[in-house]
Amino acid sequence: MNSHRAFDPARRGFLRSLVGGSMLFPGIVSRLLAEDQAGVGTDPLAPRAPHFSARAKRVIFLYMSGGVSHVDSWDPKPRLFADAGKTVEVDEFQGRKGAFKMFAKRPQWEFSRHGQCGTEVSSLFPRMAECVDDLCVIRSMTSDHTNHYEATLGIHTGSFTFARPSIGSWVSYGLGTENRNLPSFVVIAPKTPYAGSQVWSGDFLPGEHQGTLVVPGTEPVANLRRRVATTELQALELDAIGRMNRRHLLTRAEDPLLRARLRSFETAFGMQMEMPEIFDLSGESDATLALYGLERGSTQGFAWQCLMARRLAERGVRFVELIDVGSSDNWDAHGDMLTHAPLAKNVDLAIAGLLRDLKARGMLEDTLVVWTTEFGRTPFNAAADAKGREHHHWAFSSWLAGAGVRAGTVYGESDEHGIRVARNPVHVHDFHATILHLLGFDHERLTFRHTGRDYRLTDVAGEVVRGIMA
Amino acid sequence: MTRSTIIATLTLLGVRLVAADAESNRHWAFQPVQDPPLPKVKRLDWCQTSVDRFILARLEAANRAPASEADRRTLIRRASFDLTGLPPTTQEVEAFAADNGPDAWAKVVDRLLDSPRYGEHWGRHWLDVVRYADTAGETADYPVPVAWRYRDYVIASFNADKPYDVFLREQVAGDILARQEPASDYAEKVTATGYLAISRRFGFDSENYHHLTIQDTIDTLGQSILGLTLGCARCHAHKYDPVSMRDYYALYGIFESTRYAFPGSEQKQKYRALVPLVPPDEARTRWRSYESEVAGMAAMLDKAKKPGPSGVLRSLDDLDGDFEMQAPAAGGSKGVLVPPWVYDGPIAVTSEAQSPFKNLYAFGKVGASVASTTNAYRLHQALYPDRNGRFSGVLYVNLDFRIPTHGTTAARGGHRFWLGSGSGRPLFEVRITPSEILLQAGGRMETVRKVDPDRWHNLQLALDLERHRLTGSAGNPGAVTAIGEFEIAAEVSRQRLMVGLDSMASVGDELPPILVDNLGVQAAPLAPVSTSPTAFASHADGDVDPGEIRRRMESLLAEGPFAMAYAVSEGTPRDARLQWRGDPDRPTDEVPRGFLEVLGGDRLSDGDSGSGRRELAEWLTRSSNPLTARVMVNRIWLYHFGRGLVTTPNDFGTRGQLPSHPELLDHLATTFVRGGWSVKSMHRLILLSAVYRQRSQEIAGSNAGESMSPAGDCPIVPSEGTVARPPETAVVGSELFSPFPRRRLRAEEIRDSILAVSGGLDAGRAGGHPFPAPTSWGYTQHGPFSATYDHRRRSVYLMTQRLKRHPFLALFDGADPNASTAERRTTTVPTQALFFLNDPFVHEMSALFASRVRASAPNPINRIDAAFRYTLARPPEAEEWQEAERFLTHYREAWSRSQMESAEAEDASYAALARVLFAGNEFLTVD
Repeated sequence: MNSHRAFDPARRGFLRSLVGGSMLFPGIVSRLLAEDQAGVGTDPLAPRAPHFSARAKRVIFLYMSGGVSHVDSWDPKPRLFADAGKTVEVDEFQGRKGAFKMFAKRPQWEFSRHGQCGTEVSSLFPRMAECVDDLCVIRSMTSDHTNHYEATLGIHTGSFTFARPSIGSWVSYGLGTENRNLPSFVVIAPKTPYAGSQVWSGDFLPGEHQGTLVVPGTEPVANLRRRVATTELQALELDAIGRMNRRHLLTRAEDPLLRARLRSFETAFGMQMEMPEIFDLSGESDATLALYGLERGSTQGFAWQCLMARRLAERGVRFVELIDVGSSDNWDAHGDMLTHAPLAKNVDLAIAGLLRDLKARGMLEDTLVVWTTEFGRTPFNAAADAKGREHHHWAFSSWLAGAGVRAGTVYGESDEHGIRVARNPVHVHDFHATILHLLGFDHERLTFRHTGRDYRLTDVAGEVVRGIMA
Repeated sequence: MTRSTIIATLTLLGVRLVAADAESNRHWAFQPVQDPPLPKVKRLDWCQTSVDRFILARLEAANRAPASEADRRTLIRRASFDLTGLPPTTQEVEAFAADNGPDAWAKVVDRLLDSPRYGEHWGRHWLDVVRYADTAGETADYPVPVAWRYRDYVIASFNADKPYDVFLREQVAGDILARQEPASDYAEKVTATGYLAISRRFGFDSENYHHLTIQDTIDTLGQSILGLTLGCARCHAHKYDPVSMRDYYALYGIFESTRYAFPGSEQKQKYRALVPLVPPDEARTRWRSYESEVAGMAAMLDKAKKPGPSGVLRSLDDLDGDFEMQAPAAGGSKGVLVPPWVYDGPIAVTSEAQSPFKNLYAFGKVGASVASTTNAYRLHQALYPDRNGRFSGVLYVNLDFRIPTHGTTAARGGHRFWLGSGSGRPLFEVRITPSEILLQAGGRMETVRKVDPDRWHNLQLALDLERHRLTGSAGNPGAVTAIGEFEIAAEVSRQRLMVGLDSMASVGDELPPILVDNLGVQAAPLAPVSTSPTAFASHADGDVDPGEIRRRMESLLAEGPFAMAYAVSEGTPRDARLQWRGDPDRPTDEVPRGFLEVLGGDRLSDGDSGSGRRELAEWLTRSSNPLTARVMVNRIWLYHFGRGLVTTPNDFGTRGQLPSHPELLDHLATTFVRGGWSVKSMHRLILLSAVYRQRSQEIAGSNAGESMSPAGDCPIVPSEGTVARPPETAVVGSELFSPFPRRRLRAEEIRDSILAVSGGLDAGRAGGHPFPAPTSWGYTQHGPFSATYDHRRRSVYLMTQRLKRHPFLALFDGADPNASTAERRTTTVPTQALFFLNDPFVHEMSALFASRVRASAPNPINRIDAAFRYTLARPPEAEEWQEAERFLTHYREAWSRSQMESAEAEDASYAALARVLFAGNEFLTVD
């Protein structure tokens, strides 16, 4: 993996082929070549060094929408199996305080040990279970809110109420991008999640850092597809725009904004060229597609999203977030835990494939993979015969893999029924602090001044969890 | 040397001054506004208005000359965008270019200020500052179908050059002011309080998070009017500015005493409590007849055994004595009662408590029930602000109640129904026990009648506040007992009157349960108790299709009896308790309502005060307030020059930046207030100045070290260093406002300009948006409201959502609909370039542009000229003309090679030329 796209010979070859292919816009291409040699100048997205050196250079953030049940997946609770149907007492239920007698509910899936490390995972995720030697499973996650909207906003922005910059925007702000033909923060989501586009908003951070939404399907990025009939016609337009803007710049040379706009057309041109190339999977082998469980020709499903994540990461995108489903028909299994099954099937092999593929290409060395959800689900229920589970933010599970992560381990513990965190709690703020640390940032120093205050991802909290790191 | 000149000098020297004052309230912005003398300058001949003296003095101190005057085409384009957000037409450009009169420029400025397009542009600036949106922003982002009335109010206010102090007072307290002014202004003033009502809502049951909505109100009020960040003081004393938690909760009480219209939420899917745009007396009359009509339809549907639509419309002017506004509220997760009611204790809203009597409210489904309890309870609210102790007419009071038999055996206490000022002895007290009704007034107490167990009773009282007499009746249909004349206290406190129900028991007594409904206080006489509505509309005749009735009833419910606004009205006045760390569940000391200590620390006077908004409106706009005028003139300056005199326009506090020209800021503020807070006068003062008329760019070649080659294939790629930092002169220049700062068009200006030059702009106003009918709403966080409504009107009329931003506005740095936007950011991202290349809107408009060019210039030889004049307000230069010609030829050739219809080549090539012009920096920037 070449982390400096600017000197990537393949790109230079690609650009040269354009010069050869059409003489209509040599200005643009020769500029791109020239800038490749000169470096990246004042680009607000220019690569920047973090606070200290770190192995992780980029993040793939896998977010499961709706609240995945921890006691049915990553957090084995033998007592919950044993005590199923018995009553447990809790002092709060769905946001209401009081003394509640609840019925322990038996997990739907059996657990068994996997890998060299022997981490227990349920049969809900059989393929991810095969990858446990690469994971650090956190069984002591905890959040502040029992509602989807707030919890989703919290896991993305560190703020449970107000719109704030997303973690992807913070990483982009901190590290810049390695490829100026592509946005630094890309979100691939088939549907809108809870809290809407606030989830990938850059909010008060400079606009370059907001997430660019890619929607699986035929037009993944708005306006990426050429609307005029031929490349030649568009090249004529681009060339004329370039000439006009350069003439305009002659008497206004001191203005960096005008320059940046001139260049944005070149990047747009680059995106038009490079993005379709990223979406074109014809160069991927059958074996690779099979690794993800992707049918050739399909542009849908989490397998497609995972393979895109690798291709974007490979091309220097700093932060790729994948959201599996939207704000409905998701992991929010109030009615029946069995609705977890098809959702798990959608992601399980794809994520395992992504981990294997990254590893095989050596990318897991400097890529951090994060798997999370907004909260877990209650190990108990108000009715003894309830088939589903409710929202549960006191304890849930997430995992990290890749660069800098203590692989093949489990961090933290919930209590015997998976109700509260029993040992080594990892609050959402701690989770964020740790992710930033793995990227080389002191979360207290990655700040942005806004309305007279220095804001940061972790608000006024967060501690780096050393036990998660290698 | 004055303190401010020291600051100015130090700032000039590049020294960043941190407010070193031990007392932060000695901070410059809290000092009274001065009227500084005009500075002495050498080049007095350069100066056109007083503004120029201040700017020139700083330039001369820095040994710099002002930039020369821009040419006329540049000037008219600059002024057109700055005042109307639209490019000038070619006729306007030519007329100005040809006008050699001494007042040619002043005429242009006046014409632009008189254009209705002016309010659309400057109204948009204010809408940025007050984070306007057409949705509520809670988890399901409920639409607010009448929010647009406030948007249009803002636009109309700028067009009318409404004095800024009046504009602010209306937005903070318009509903109160409306009652004192001519009825013709009533709707406008009520609508103005949309400023408060559009505060963000939170959570899936936003009434449970009302404390955050109030915080959002205070935050926005602080930033928009005072240039202060007050929000921090919710949880702790402000770290940097002299704003204490007591200050915060003094303001909080004012807004807690205010009723906000309710937009609907996942938990309560109907909007309610909107504010009528007709005065209360008229509203109540129309309301009654409207409601009778609805009730009549409901009765017919009932008779036909068909279900009627659910939901009863109630407005904020209503006392809500039938508790119908509480019905959805009671379904909330905490079971709270919402304003206007203030309550404590075991009170629930139930259908069991629906009274059968229809003499007051003709239609209803619920009432309030108080459970049998040993705990004290209370339920009260304030009457309309004009129903204070000085009210001298007759007040008619109605209450229905029932004491259920179950649970009354052990009961020893009773209930107290009263009307009074809330403190001291009430005007009357009606005591209700399981066995009897007693009335106490004027020091006399008598038994009125016995209570029939388990039966509904109606109580009616008439309080003659002029003659100090009370009469009334109690009972049920057919068994009404008259109440003889009672004397009532002659001296009534001047405070606002309240009406309430509470417990009357000794410690340890168990209260009997009670159900109450149809509590009304009005100035018109009441109808006798009855189980059928008094004024029944005549729908009951003949065979009517139940489906048709239902449809009519639905539309009646959706429309209401009169136009309403998303606004606020007076609630029950009370002081707020300080919340420990901002947690409303941990209240501590009560704080009297009032204003910031550093700005006077006024408290509400005793007497007939309401929420305190009327007083707040005065405090905000009185001439001794050092912030309000400074903040606004700074905004006006900022929108003209792209940079404020204070570069943190929403933060004049100690964390904000110091003014670059403190004397000029004060000169503008003084002139503003003296000129009657006229915003248009400020535009004239600024636009007629020499500083505004400077050219924007240095002449080519004046920047040493920059080597430029002519346009062509040789790319202009300066070495890294020059790109990284603009030359030193540019930095200083921007702070000295010389040369004139160039800016990119705002999102709205981009879309509006493309529409305008293509001939596609619909100059109409938008009114409301085509939202789905409210009766169909069922938005949740799983399926939130989400829509975009395209049209060709100006962008200020685009529907703006809070959770999901409008894609175009998001792409071009539109205002944040969730927080006050003082300045638009200008980002440059490749997806913007993709918009110009490929977006359907751009392609549609470029095609329109091509036909406009063809129609206006039948001879092809003139078409390039027309295209340049439309987009850039100038003819092409010779070289540009040749290049455009070459481009068109190449394009047509490529077109025919692409197997496209060759007849379309001509228009297609002009459409392509239009896109090239739209995408150009010249089109998108104002010089």
